[in-house]
Amino acid sequence: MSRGVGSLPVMQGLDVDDALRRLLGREDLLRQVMRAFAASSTGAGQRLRQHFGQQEHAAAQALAHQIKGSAANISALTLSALAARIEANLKAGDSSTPHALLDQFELALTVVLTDIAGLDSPADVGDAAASDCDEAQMLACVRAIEQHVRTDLGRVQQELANLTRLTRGSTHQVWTDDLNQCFEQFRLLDLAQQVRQFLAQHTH
Amino acid sequence: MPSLQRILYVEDMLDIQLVAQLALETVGGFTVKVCSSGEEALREAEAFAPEMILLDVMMPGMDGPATLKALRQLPAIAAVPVVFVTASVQPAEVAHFKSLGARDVIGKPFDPMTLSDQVRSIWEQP
Repeated sequence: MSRGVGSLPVMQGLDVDDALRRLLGREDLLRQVMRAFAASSTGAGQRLRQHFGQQEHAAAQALAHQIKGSAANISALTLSALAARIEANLKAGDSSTPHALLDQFELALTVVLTDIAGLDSPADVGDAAASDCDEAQMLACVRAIEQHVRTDLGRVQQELANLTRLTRGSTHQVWTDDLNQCFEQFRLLDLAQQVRQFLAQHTH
Repeated sequence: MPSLQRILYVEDMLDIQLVAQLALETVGGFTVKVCSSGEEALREAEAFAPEMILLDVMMPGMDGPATLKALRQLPAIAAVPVVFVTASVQPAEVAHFKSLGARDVIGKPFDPMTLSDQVRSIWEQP
């Protein structure tokens, strides 16, 4: 188990200290990376079982390989090691990966995804104002996102992190979470549309 | 040898993109363009004019080796050094990637604190 660090909650399946060290202490970025991991890995256990069930060993190997790398990227080391074992079995031509190993993999994945889901729990809202935020600063972030969404995703990412910090605990938090989800899932057209709608409603 | 500045990074996984971008831009000071697929890299490479390309191996659609082969058909990109970034780093695998034309291989997961040093070291290889 990893202790809570900064405003991050306690994590069972990730080494938060190590993950933060890897990201130069950037908690905002760690949150984004973990959410991106969740978006791409949710349901991976079921998909893996389906691949095995349908004798799609190349697809199973590719999925195990992907989870191995992504899990290590967020310092979910147990999950990464289990994915590595599954990949190694398949690479060696052994397609009879035992159910116990798949069970362990699925359990470890569930633990990590639960950790990540906990990032958005009410306890994690933080100590920002509960009802409001600085609208001028918020508008500046949103304008910057609109300006850069087609040309500079690094800047968009930075402005989203600012926006997330500004709106935490405010009435705009859910909207900001939606924007973050669009960005993490690369739904950039949706992101641009939401931003334009917001600006249309909040500027004269 | 001129210093390395512009890097094209091709990787389909957003979580790994984010970490690599932080490592290369913030730690390394490089100018980085990220593409999420081999197809996107082919569309963007000539306009971005990278000095080095970091290429994931296992991607949906065009994988790393297929992307490398296609990039080599672009006259402006043909001579740009390509480095595979992959968790497949057994000696035989590395030798295979080099036989395809990669200058070198960087293992995953990479350490964001040292990735830029690795990249510069590969850039300076004769």
